[in-house]
Amino acid sequence: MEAEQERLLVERAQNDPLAFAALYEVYADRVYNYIYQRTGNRHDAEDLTARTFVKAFAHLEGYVFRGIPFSAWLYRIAHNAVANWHRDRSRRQVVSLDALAAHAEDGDHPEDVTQSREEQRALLKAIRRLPAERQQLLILKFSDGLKNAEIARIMGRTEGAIKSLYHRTLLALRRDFQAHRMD
Amino acid sequence: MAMSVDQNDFDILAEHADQLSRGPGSDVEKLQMSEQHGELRSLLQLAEQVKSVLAPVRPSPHFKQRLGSELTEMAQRRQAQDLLIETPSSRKELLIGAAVALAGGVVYLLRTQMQDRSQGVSHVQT
Repeated sequence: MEAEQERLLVERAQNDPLAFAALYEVYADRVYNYIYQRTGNRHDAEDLTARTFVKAFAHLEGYVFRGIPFSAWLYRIAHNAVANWHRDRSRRQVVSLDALAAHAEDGDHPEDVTQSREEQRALLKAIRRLPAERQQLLILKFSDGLKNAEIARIMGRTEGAIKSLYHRTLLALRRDFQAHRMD
Repeated sequence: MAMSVDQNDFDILAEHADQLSRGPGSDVEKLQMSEQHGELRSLLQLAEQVKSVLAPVRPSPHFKQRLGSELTEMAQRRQAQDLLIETPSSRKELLIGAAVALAGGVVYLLRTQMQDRSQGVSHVQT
């Protein structure tokens, strides 16, 4: 979504609470997907998505555009909700078998999928061991399919910084993935 | 082997990621890479694996509709509250307006009476 279009939607919702529905329609799938990828199960993803939108609705009047787009603000709320969720449970994320099954079913070209289920499970675990910021980058890039410019806008960085972070993320992920495979 | 990191590597990785996001039909081989990019190739393969395990997941239509309805109800409640808050202030404004108008009327009457009196006194004196 264009920044100007987003700004107009936010302004409308700030003046008319019922207009928040338009923002919800635009971002519901993306926020849910982001939270699902971070938590790995539908139940918690639904709960945290609901909390994210209720909080965004409650605090929308306080949101002022100062170079930080609404989408970044919304992702920040979702990010904090997930962080609290992890803290409350004080445990490492258990990879959902449902998630792996769903991923396997989603594949349009199963013949191209050379990874074993164990490898997929190990990779997903390695992704979830990454710092939150790096997980967010991978989710925005591969799950949401956003371009670097949009990711940069959401994460408050330059495009160059995003490219660099992506490179470092892949290196760290490969290192961690290989180290745990040898265990 | 140490990987030589330069801007070109960043760009190749970024372009590759964009190709992956565009969907099937894109592959590593289409990217312009020389033999010395062997190290980079393993990162590109890892990126493809990451893409496959992070396949997008949508909320169930039931959940999405239910949450949407809850948010609409919240919005309606807030609108009703806003109206309740606005009503007393509107009344207050009306009362203040009426009081100012009344005070203005009284001042006008007093001034008119005073002018009449002063005119009456000057008339008697002449």
